[in-house]
Amino acid sequence: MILKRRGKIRRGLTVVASAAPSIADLARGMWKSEKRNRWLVPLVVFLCITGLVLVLASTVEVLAPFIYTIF
Amino acid sequence: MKILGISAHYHDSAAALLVDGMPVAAVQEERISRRKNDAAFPVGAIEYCLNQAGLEPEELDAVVFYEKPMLKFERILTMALREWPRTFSSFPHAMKSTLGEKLWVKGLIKSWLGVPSDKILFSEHHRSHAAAAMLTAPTRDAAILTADGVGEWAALTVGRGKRAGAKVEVDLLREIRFPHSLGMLYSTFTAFLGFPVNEGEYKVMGLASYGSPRFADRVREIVERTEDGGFRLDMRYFEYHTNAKRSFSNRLIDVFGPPRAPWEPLDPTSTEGRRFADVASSVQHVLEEILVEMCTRLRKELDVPDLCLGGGVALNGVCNARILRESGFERVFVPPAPGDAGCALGAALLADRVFFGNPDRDFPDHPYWGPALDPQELFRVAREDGLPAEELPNDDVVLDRVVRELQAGKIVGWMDGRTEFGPRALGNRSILSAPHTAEQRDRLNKSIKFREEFRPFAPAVPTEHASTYFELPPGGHRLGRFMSGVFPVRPEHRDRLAAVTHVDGTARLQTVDRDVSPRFHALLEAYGRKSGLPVLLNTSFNLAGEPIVNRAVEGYSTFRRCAIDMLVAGRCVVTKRADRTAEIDSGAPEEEAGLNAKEEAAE
Amino acid sequence: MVATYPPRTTSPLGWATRLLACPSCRGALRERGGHLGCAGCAKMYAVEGGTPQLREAGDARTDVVRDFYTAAPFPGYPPKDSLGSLRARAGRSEFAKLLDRAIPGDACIVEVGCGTGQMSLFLATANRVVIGADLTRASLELGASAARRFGVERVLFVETDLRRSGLREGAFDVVYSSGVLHHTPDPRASFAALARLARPGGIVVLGLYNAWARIPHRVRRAIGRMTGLKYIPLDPVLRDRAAEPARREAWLRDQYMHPEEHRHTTREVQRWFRECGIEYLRTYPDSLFGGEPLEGDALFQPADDDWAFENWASQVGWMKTLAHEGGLWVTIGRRADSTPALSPSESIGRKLA
Repeated sequence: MILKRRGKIRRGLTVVASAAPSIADLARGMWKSEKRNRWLVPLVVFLCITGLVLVLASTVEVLAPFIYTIF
Repeated sequence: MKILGISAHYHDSAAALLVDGMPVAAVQEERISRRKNDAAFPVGAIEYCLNQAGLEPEELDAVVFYEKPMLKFERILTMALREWPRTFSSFPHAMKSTLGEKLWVKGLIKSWLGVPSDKILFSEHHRSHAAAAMLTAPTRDAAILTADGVGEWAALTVGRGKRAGAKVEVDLLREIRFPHSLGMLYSTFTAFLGFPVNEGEYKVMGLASYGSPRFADRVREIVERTEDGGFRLDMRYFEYHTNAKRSFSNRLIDVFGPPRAPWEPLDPTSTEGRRFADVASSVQHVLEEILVEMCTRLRKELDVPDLCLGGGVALNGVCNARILRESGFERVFVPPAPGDAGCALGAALLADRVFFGNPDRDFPDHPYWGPALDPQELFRVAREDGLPAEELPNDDVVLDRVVRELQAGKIVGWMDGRTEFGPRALGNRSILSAPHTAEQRDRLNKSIKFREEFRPFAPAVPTEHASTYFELPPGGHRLGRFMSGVFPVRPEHRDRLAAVTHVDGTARLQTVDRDVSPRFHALLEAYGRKSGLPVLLNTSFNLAGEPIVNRAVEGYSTFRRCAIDMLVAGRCVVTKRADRTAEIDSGAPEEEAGLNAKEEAAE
Repeated sequence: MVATYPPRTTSPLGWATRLLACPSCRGALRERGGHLGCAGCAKMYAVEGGTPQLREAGDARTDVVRDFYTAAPFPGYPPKDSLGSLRARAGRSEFAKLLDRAIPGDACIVEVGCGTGQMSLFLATANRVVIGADLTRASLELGASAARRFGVERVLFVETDLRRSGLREGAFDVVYSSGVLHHTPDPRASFAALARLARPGGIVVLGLYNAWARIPHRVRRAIGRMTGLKYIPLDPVLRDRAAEPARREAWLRDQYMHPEEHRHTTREVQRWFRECGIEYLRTYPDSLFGGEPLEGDALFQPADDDWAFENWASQVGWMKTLAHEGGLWVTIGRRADSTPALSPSESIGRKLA
């Protein structure tokens, strides 16, 4: 048995599809827990949505190769 | 019920599987993916766990993630705003690293496993630590203390666990929140001393023994104690909450001097090296002081004889031993994987026993939950390469051969059974050697581990002989089971245990039970019969920068790349050919000259 | 000081003489009264401070390069260096880690143009044996003294010239040469000599300045030269070494004042490989688009593909990624073997059997 190797885009879309309830949970939690944190909620929601875009756009970060000046 | 626990995304991700309350498999992703401290979503580890039980992902009743990523995100965001504008430069970095996959764990689990949302549960970071410590230990009622860098908000918690008949409780009573964190304090000094954070902490512990705590008062000024028994860090000395690149501030440098660059040599006998050793010693000293005092209070408050320690700070064996000696607890339990990897198991146990209320079961008291060894694999690859490989007829012959090699000063790679869960090699994926001489230690450091000489190696000893060679307080045997405590070597044996005795006369020993690892136990006994000392040096089977080996072929590759003389996997034994220099030396020069001449002519 | 283990029974020259040859007639050498004597032409070669001198008088252009490095050995050792810190420095480089990972633990290695021998010392672990060869005595002496200080026994430094080398041909599992051949008068001919050192099935690792990737550096250098090297824009290595004057000076000399320098393309090097019977495996960094980062012992495994357009395009891309250290790239090949079905690491294992 091997986990299904779905394409990166398809996995990204699954993540996006299930994100809305998580964001709602977080916003609701913050609204309820501490009064002084309420003003944060719109910001959090905005950042979460930005983050979702990042999930789809993220690529492997390549380090600058380091071949000559090793020592 | 079939419950899969997952920990991922910060360091060493892992997966663990419970079926009907009993563990079936648990392994760190790095052992499968072969990337040291692999923090990626543990696809390989999950596959192994499901395979081990013959399950398809759809058959799982629940998948538990070890912490709440959204709360963590809230913490990072809140900290960034609270410290604004100092966090200005690190803010994009912090957002980029949290906002990607790390935040969308539910979707991620769904996308990999295809399980419906209602089967995906989230534990809390420190509750997972607490459960990993308490529910794997043979105790019914215990105090719990967990400490690490940071979870969602908490960095240190105290609590209590009860297993009374059917009902299991793991409750956290109080917590200390980020940024006030003993784990971050230690890690900051790890970085200050030029070691890699999250893996170099034990180097700080090793270095501490070379110094004296002459800066302890200055460290105490940084860690201010509060009246309720907690502490606060003076954040003017730190930057980990505002800066992505450096964790300490200039003020810390003003107090302790310039930090060490990672590639600068560290010689504890030089003036500069002395300063670093003294800094390490002071931090270690203050950490012990605080934790011992907290545990003493906890002992009085809860009035139970057992203590379970969890979180990365519980890997500090010197501190654990002091807690056992001084806090008043009779027994101290540290699980084999107290760090974040262990949380995969902790979260699964918590879901099973507490959330679903399934009947309590005793957890088998050993760490061997990883992939099993296939000795035939080794036999095959060694034969392909033309190395002398033999399958010996029975264990007695194997032990006899290994003991003979060890006595001759040879270094043996020893693989057996299933891989350990947790950072320590406990006799199933170990490099073994005679523990007697400092030369042997230096040889290991130089030609296998390629590492600093101030780091000690650990001894393994049968439980029943441990007190003969080591000064163990009551309960010390148990702490030694997973190499969780550092204890003094008896002075009369220090000469013959030079390779495993640290500069301060202590050793981080492993006590080996016949019931838990019968073969390793038999090997120690056999070595004892021949040498008069049933102790072996046991260090993890890996090279610097690589994870501990898992499969026989990985052991073989490591064996080929370093100065290990003999590799044992089950009953399969492989040795190296004659030394390469001897081999080159034995060539006939005339014949070679002829070869060169021929090639010349061909051109 | 740490005691050496296992106790040394012979001088390092004992085993190493078999890996050396007479630079004049290619005959085998023998140790005779502290000297090396050729079995073929009876010439004698001095061994000073444990470092054999197997070099005949060179041509004028080679001597200029030699004098250049004698004046300032490159790269220098930082003060108070240890084997641990040397390894820590190398650990910062993904390439060094991959190389160490790909070379078997019992390989016989030669580093041609080892300079002060830091790479040789880094590679001399496990059961490997390493010969570090260089033109410049001053550099080799630094290497040899570091080897003694670190207790590294399986390394021997040899003073020799590649074109008439004192190294035995066909004797080495791995031939490593980085940042060297582009400083020789005729790099192509030097490569032919280098390739002959590898045994059949042996690996050749060659680092050279890339014609494309070095363009940004040449612009930088032109500006620098116009100001008499007082103002050099955008050199990250110089900037990093601002606090270490000796190492900064070494980089400055090597990159801005070198008397002999050539630049090459991937195509050119692939042609050299073909001419010398070296099978092309891959480049580092990868010359393929969207290649996954290398892992484990993949450095000596053949690349998936070798497409001229991709090769060219990635070289253009290296103008950005490699410019920070002067545009050096590495090509890896394998000397043709009579049993070509084996992967390099396997064949190394088999050869030793």
